[in-house]
Amino acid sequence: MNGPMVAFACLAGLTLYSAWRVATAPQVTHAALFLAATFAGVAGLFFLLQADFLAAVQLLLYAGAVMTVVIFAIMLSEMREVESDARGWRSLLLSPRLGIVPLVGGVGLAAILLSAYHRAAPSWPLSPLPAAPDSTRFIAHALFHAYALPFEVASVLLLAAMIGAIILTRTEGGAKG
Amino acid sequence: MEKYLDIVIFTVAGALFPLLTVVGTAIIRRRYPDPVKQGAYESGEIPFGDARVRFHISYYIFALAFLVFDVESIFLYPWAVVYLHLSRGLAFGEILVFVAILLAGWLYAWKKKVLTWM
Amino acid sequence: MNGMSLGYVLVRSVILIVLLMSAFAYFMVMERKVIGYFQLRWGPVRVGPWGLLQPLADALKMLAKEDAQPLAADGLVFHVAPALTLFVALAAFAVIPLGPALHIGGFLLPLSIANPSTGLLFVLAVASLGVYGISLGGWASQSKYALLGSLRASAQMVSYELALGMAVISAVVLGGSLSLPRLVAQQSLHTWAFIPDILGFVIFVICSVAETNRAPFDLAEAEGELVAGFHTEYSGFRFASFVMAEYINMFTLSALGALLFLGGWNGPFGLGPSVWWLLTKMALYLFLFIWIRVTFPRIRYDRLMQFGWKVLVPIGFLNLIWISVFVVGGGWR
Repeated sequence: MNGPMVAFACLAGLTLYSAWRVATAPQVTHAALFLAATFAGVAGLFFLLQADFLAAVQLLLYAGAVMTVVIFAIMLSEMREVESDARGWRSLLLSPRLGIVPLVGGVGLAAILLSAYHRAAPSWPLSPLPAAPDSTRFIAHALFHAYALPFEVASVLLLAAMIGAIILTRTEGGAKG
Repeated sequence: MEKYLDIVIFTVAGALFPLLTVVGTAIIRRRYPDPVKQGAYESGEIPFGDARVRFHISYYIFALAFLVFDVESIFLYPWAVVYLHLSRGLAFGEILVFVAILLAGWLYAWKKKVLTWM
Repeated sequence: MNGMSLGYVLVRSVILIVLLMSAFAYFMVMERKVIGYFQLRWGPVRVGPWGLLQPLADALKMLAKEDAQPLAADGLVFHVAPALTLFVALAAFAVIPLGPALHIGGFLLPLSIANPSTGLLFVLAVASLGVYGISLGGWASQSKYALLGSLRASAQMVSYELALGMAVISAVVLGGSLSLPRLVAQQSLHTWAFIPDILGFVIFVICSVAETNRAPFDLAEAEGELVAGFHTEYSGFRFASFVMAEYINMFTLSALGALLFLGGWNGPFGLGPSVWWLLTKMALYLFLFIWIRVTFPRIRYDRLMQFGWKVLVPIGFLNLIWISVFVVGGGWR
């Protein structure tokens, strides 16, 4: 096993383990902490693929900004621990930690993804990576030449998101409660 | 990719340094647990109620606004990198439209008194 | 990676960590001394000549303190938060180049741990994770002061992060790269970036004070109302790691300010590049931190948020447009 393979195994393991803990943690703040670890693991995978810019964006946006919103949402809600799982056959079937249904569902989803990957794989060029490409510059040229219109539309989308957020969180009459 | 491994090594070494110091000096640290000491500090009063009270929605609105503007600033980084070398008139027009649309969102937020802390 | 290069990285890491720790220790002494002189006091003078052994005494005290933890606290998060804060601060510092690569006997010694092509974005991305340690640490303590302090601190940090980003982007427009050494090289070709971009520099300074939660933006730990803010319930070495992270973040931001706006390691008046220029600029920047701290009273929280969103963000946007007009007009050729 070579260096990148070891790094990939570690990062993939971290990502999968913390994703599993997000689903099973009884305390919602712990789930948030593990969600952050999942995002960080994905960012690590991007670094491994030499997608520097995407990795930094993953950290800045998902691990930074989205997680801030999540943490604030948790602090705004009633923070009680989730009641322990129902006893008996229901827990055996449905409990996220060791239930049969979540397990089968997860394995099935993984199988579907893997088979999709196998069907699509031959069309992906598996050439060795060019030496240290400046991915930011590449993305910028794509963004401002070929995809200039989608780029401007993205700003309209962000405007819509902003207005939507304000309308949803504001109550009538200027007073917020 | 190796440069990121270097960063990991540095960070782990840097975090190990205080950790080892703390473990190594555990012997001089005393430990006298006490129910009063282990309560929450409320300026000498006996703590009452649950500390995890619900918070004002303002915090959440600011977080959402931050998220929107943060996504937008991510788009500005690649633009800033190539701006010196790009056909400037076009790049300037593109970014002017982009920033203008976002400033409209910011103005809307101001008019709706979202940016006023209450 | 073979054993040779691993050892090379380890040696450089240990040197940088020792330097950082001593810089942290003596910057604390300097801060207390400077504040003392500002207030017509002596500052620390008892331990060692001129109080120079003060940091040793402080470290020993911190290590010997009981590691108290509230019974109601959330164990896992309470322990993770200070470690995470320190970890993130160190990772951000790793990509800061402290000077041009040194030639020592035909051997090239780079003055940073790593130099990725998107170094600047990496610093900002990692620094944006600093908000976790603070918000989670305050939440885990199960204390009202701590929770209030941490919420205030995180809302403040994200608000000022935006304006900070605007200032940084204006410097990137002038430098045309996200690589810190290249930004410095660009400034040696033209002139230092703060000359056209003075507004960006001022925004950067204000935001760096707010990002490190220092006076007058230290609402997170406003002693008068919140005891010690998010680290009210922390004591001993856990408290110390929060403080250490705050100071390392100050070093990172002062280095970033010097690299982005003040010409990095280029000397003034056409003098050649040197590590010492950067260190001098960082020292001046850090002195500015202390000066601001002793001069200004704390801002009220609602004004702090409004100042960030209604003043700094729009000025940041307008400054960005001014800088791009400046570049289009051929002012940077």
